[in-house]
Amino acid sequence: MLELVFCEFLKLKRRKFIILTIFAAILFPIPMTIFAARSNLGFNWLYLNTGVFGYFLLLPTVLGILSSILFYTEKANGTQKNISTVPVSPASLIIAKVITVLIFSVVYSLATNGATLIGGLIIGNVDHFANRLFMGILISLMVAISILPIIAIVSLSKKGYVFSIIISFVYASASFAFVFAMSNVLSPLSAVFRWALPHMTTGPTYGLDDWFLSSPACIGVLIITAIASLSLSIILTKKQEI
Amino acid sequence: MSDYLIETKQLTKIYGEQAAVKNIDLHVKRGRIYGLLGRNGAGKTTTMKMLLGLTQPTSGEVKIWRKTLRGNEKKLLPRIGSLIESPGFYPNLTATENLRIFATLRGVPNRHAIKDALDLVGLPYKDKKLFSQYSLGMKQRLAIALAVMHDPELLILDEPINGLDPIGIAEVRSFIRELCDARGKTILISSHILSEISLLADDVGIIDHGTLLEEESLAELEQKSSKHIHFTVSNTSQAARVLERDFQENHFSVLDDHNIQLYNLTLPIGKIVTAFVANGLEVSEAHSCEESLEDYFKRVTGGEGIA
Repeated sequence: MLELVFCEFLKLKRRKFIILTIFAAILFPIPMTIFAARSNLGFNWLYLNTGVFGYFLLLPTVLGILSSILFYTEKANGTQKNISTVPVSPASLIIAKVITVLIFSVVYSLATNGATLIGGLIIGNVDHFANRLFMGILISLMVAISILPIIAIVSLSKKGYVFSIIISFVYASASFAFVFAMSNVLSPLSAVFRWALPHMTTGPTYGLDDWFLSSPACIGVLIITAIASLSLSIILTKKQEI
Repeated sequence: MSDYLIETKQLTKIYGEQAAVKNIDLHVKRGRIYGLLGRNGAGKTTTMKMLLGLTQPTSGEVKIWRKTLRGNEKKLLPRIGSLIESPGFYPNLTATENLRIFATLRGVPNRHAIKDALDLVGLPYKDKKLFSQYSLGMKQRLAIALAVMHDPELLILDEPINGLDPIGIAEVRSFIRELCDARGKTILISSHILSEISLLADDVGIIDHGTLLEEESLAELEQKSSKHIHFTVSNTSQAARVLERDFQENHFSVLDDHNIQLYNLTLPIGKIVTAFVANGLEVSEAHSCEESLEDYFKRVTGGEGIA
């Protein structure tokens, strides 16, 4: 499996999208830092807002695009036949690609956290950073798991990159809208959002405790999502002919 | 013990209502080059895909090294090198990087395997040129390098000379011949070009509209298609004795009890028939055949299409 994951990263070499994404993760907290500095809003506000927009709007879209690159590249370049005759099973290949997405999500989280830390140092009141860094990594992993249904659709779709980008963005935007509308409609991504919000702030929760999702409920949603999405991807991929 | 490295039984693939391959019984002998000859769309690629497990047969069976392919893929496929349809590689990577991916996936132990494979097909090692910048011929060479990189015992090559220039075709031909003769590899190669198959293959299968029409050695096919005089007589043993005794001729083939072919066209047919009759033989047919290999393939496949 380690070799498969190594190969997935090698396949991404010279892909400008990867560098651009990391740059976006680093640059994204800059305007937030400027706004926080001008308005004296403090590090908690900066961390919460870069997290909310970074993890729940930008990251799911980025991971959807990454997934489309990882999965569609085999179809687009005719490499699936070479991989199948090694032989590498569809299950191993899909899991390797999902692990790549998880690792990339953590790298994105580290880049965002690093940039937010620098912003906090400029503002001058960084607190609980180790805890926030840990939460950031945890949330990025949970967000990556929450987009597995999108990965399942992308892996089975024959419609190419544009379709994958659109459904990733629609999924992220819809989940974001559910949360901001305080809706009880639950998607795996909005479940992570509703679990993560109280953990991302050291400030007041404004009586929303009942609306926030408990850890067991969130973990349950993610486990069901992961099992259903991966099973569907693997079963249907096995049935596809090359 | 069967000497066949690949053996299929009633192999069939149906897409919707269209049969791409129908009841094919293929027999590839160990250590030989088998040429699968057929026009475009005859079913060559579908057959090869089924031999590699890339497409599941609708019915029938594939046996490689006398083991059923289905369920034994992990044991059998690592011993096979293949090139199916167009070369499939990552366009953002160099040739070396592309091969490194597949060497890693295959667990190739030889550290020099990538360099050796690239050297073999005349492509530079650790070159900075990306696959997307390669010409069709270079892409095809890289695909051949991938097929041989892990030193497989069996090669399945679907139209390997596609896109190569004449020098490249000659190089690949001699390279494939050497793999078989010097290294004992068994090679199944497909082509729609008759001259390529006749220059390379030891055994030939002619496929058309998904059906395997003929399967025999190239020598047998050449004999079938060469210029000859054909006699249908009551007793070929007696006819053979007449030819040897009365005409001092031994360049002939006895096909069965009643059919015999004579390859010396200078002998007069009338005198031979008279001699046969004088020796008590009944002669029901005597005619000369002047069919080339190409004419023969056209006749067998029912028309044009094979160059």
